[in-house]
Amino acid sequence: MTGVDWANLSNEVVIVTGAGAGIGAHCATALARRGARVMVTDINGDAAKTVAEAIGPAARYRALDVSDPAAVSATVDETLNTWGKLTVAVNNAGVGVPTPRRLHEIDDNEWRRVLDVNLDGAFHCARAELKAMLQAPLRPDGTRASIVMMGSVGSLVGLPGASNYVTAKHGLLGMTKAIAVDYAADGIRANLVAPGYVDTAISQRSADVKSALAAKHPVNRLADASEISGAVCFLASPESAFVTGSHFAVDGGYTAQ
Amino acid sequence: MTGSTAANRSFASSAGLITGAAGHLGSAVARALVDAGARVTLADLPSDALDALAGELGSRAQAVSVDILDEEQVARAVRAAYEFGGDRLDFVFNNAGTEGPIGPISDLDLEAFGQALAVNVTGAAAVLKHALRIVGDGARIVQTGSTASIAGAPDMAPYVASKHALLGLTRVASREVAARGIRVTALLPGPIEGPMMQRITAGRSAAQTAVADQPTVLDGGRRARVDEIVSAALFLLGEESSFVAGTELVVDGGRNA
Repeated sequence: MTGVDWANLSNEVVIVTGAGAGIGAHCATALARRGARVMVTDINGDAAKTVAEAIGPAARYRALDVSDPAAVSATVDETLNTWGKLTVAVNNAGVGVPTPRRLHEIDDNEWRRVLDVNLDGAFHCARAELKAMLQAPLRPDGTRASIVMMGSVGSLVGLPGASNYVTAKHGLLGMTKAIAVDYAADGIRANLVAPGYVDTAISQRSADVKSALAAKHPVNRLADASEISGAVCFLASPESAFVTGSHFAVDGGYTAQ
Repeated sequence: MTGSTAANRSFASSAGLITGAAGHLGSAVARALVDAGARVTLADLPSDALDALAGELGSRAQAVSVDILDEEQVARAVRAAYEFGGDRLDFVFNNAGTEGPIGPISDLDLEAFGQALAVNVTGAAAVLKHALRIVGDGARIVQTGSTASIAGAPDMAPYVASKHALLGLTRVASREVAARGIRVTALLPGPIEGPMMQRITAGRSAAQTAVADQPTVLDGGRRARVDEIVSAALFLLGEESSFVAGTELVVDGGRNA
């Protein structure tokens, strides 16, 4: 990392999925602020457009449903056509569980809906991204590219009423480690960020619910999405060149309990 | 780490304490922090290296001799750091430690085992005890663990046992003070190229155990360079990790993936 500024991601070309709002939008913005060129994608193309336009010329946008492998490949191709390489991916697209249910109450559709996006979607993304990243230039520090998976504290511990979500997020950690092992010799890193509960505008939680969720964290508050993007920028940057196969809990102490 | 790297991550007007400051990692982190604008108290056993480091770092650093096993000296060092910061202490890099005696458990010198645990665990607890009495809300404490905090390493029972214990200490401390916004985290490096690994290798050679050094998966088995650990330390010690509490960051080139 010698000679590369912490704040400087100007050598990076990034895809962020689920970047139309919340953590993903903050990541796209924070990465671009540090100089990266960013493909802002979201299933809601209008939301992606809004985020990309706020970033300015360093961003492009594209509507993307990560559960569609052809659309994922096309997004990677467009990124390569636009900027010539892919060096960072923030695989952040995911769906939550609107109604808590224990496993015996989850029907096939609800199981598949969560797994399709949160696990299969990440697989589609990682597969297409890795093909592109293998062609990225090898840097003096021995690395080519960095994949950041957006996990959850549900990647590390069980969460009530969300066995489909927890299964997918644990699986995502396994995928992250497997990628780290398989692609280390190619200089491609993979790490997972495990946020605690984030206070996002889209979550529309009542004050009581927010307060109860905050109390689950030793810091007794929810995260702001901007507090997650700092960890993502670190893992995206050459400063973390020796970090791979790691998970990084950004959870206000949630999993230290 | 170059000057420009650290300078982008501002520690201006913040004050901190580094224990084990004369060592390989401690001195590298000290240089980066002073370069980023911090006022730093360098605590270590008295040595020419400690004095030389303080001289090199100039007016924003002071050296304090401390035997980590002497609680009164630890309390004095913490107080000295607070006063040097202008009656504030924003961060502590709780880094003093020893690799302890090297050799198989069947040959373990129990007295030496106890001494290593005293330095690595009781010493760290003494620093925590006195630091937590004086730091302000929002302070950051980073403990130097190791991948030996989460995995075994042959011939290193004192080190591994003590670094596992240190992780427990980190989690407890975090839970106790998280609500005040004080973040206690652990940095878990893999083997770093430098004097400690040279001593460990020599110790194994003397014990005739000839344990092959496990390669990391990254870059064909190289060890970390100290600057690759410094960047992670600065991330945890800084403001960008504001929702990171009670957790650990593994920097090991994928060794434990």
